[in-house]
Amino acid sequence: MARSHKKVAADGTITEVLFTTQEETDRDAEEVAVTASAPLRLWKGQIAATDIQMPRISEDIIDSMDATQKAALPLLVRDNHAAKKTLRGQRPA
Amino acid sequence: MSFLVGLDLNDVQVQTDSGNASTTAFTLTVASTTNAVAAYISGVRQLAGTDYSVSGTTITFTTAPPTGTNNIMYVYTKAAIINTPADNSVTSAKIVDGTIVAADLADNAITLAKMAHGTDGNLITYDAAGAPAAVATGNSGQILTSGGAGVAPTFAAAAAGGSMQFISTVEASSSATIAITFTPGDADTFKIFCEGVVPASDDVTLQMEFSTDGGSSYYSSDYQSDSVGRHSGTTVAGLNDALTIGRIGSDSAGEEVGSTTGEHLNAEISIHNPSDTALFSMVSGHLVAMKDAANNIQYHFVLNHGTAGDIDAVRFSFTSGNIESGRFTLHKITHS
Repeated sequence: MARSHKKVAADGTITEVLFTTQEETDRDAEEVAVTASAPLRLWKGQIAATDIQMPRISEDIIDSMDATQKAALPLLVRDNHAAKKTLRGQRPA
Repeated sequence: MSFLVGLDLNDVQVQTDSGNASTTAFTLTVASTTNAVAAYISGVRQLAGTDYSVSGTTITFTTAPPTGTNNIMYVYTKAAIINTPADNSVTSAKIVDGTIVAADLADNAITLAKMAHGTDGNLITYDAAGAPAAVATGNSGQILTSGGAGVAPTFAAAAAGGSMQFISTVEASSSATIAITFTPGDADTFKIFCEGVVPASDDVTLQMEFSTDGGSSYYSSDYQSDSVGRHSGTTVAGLNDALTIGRIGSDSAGEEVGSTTGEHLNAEISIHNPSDTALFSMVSGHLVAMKDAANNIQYHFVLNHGTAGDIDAVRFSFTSGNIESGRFTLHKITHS
């Protein structure tokens, strides 16, 4: 079914205008891009959700530690860091 | 209603009786009254009310007339005749002008059709003398304003003051976009309420574009959006720069609006400084939605365009698929 714009003017008049051929083409491309980006957008949401337990700055600091320093960290911190690194490694293209 | 009618010669009665020196009461042919009867005994006029009295058809003498043949004579008129006119037979011409009083009219009886015609748009009030008077029709948009006690009301422009007024509304019906146009100088802020908006596709994000040419074209780059929200008990932050189309709320997959039965979104969006060409175009608002049957999502968001300019139209769409249904209503807010 052809897409359409539904417009309401400043005086309240409502009109419906069919997409042009170019608009249909552009919209198809946008929707394909949205679908294609879904895995990445899902991953962004998941990685953002880990910020409560392991903010990016903490992740970076721990990354800079050597093995001895990391071993001195509480187990919970190490687990959160490891989980985030695992998730980060799963970033879709 | 009864009327006393006039008499004619046919109403005059002449009757005789014969006395026997003992009878005092005699019978008249027709009913009359004491003063309407002239009674004679042997040619001598008797004194009404003293020598005799009449009640209906009975005339009673104080003293029994003497014996004689036809020695008693009555000359009299009938009692006043009361006639009742037939129903609906009394015409206006029979009634003295200006004599009908309020008591003649039943309560709750005067219909609108019986009132004299007036000017379309006028209202009825009372003047200083308490008489009915017309309130002149005002101009379109004016409101009825009291003048206080003792002063008739008038139609006048509404007092200046801040207000929020409805402008337009439109319902999506499998629409790819919903475009809303307005006059930037008409308001300090425009408000758009999105109610019950259902996407045709599942897991999509609401998009918004700005126009500076009445909707002929929309910015196609340089949108910046930021939001903070909650989804399934988790705080969600979304920041998107350099977008080709503005997005409201997070566009992270899994944190978007659902389209299954009952799922929908509602949003309250403010369009700030719409007529100010020196400021970046900016909107903000709050969005709540049902992501699925078990989870709602909410976002407080801001969206701007990286170019200073006015906004005279906005356009909504989803990241994918049509806007299946939902109402978009525009209001304007003005200062006093």
